[in-house]
Amino acid sequence: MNKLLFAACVALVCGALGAALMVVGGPGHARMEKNDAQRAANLRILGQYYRCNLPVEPSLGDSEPQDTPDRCAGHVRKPDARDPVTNEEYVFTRSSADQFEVCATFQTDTQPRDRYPFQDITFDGAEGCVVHARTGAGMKWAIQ
Amino acid sequence: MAVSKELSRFTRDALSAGKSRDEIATALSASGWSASEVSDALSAWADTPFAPPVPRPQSTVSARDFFIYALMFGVLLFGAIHLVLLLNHLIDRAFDDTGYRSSHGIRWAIAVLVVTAPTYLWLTARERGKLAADPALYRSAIRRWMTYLTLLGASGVLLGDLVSVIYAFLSGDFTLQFLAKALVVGAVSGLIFLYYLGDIRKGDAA
Repeated sequence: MNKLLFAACVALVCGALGAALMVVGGPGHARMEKNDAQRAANLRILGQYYRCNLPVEPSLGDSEPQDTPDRCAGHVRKPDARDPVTNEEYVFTRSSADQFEVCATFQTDTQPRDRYPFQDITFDGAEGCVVHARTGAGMKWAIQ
Repeated sequence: MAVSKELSRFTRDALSAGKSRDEIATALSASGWSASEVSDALSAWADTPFAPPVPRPQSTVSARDFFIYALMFGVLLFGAIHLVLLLNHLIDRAFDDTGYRSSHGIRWAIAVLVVTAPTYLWLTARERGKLAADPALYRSAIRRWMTYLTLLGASGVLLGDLVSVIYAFLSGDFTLQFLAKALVVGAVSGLIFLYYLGDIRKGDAA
């Protein structure tokens, strides 16, 4: 009887460990998840920097694209945020006077993309972008 | 119950002097000793006609036993808690896919189990081998205390689990997810309880 109970305990532990490893993946997958979380954080930081330091581009018809000074304290210098794997800079694209985006290529798709740390990111396949746009009466920048 | 030195010495002297057990019991009861104290004092000596009286084996206490059994039951407790946490995480993933999903808790529980499970298995196999070779080790007081403490903890968790199931049912929170978690807690604590209950019975029979 006791041997049977002991075997049941061992089977329960082994089953739980196997199932857990299947769910969360191995160390390689964990590293990719961490890299993706870092990318998401970097896109947010860079987005705030660009809000405060957008160059005036007459071709786009803007005059003062920068965010209000009270929201730009600490965003004077461009953060040294690069892709943690390739060490390349993230892709910045200004699509109109009132919209820009900062994009990265992500490695995993197992984490739900509508939740932290990806809830602000718009995904198109492996590419994810934080899209900033000026809308409303006050034309204030906000993440789309 | 521990027998006082005076009582033990008196019982030994009386048995050596050829007094019967009934006579000794009557004398002790008349002197104010309780029935359980008298019984313990007399049962410490074997009921054989040999003189002087032969002592029965007594429970032993040693620092080595404390180290081995504290480590074994500590590892069991830590591992069991993390096994339940791990299974609860997996149940959350299977049933509720709306909250923030972190893998840290699962990875931490895996790490704990990878260390505690083999350690517990090794310590238990080692202890079983020693008990089979020398059943006198069943008399280790620390082993019995640790086993009973484990039984107490496991039965407390089982009762708490039952209470929480009834409370959830009455509160209208009784979901399949809750039931699965309650079953996990019940299964882990139930297995531990049954295993050590069998162990205590085996020790009593040895």
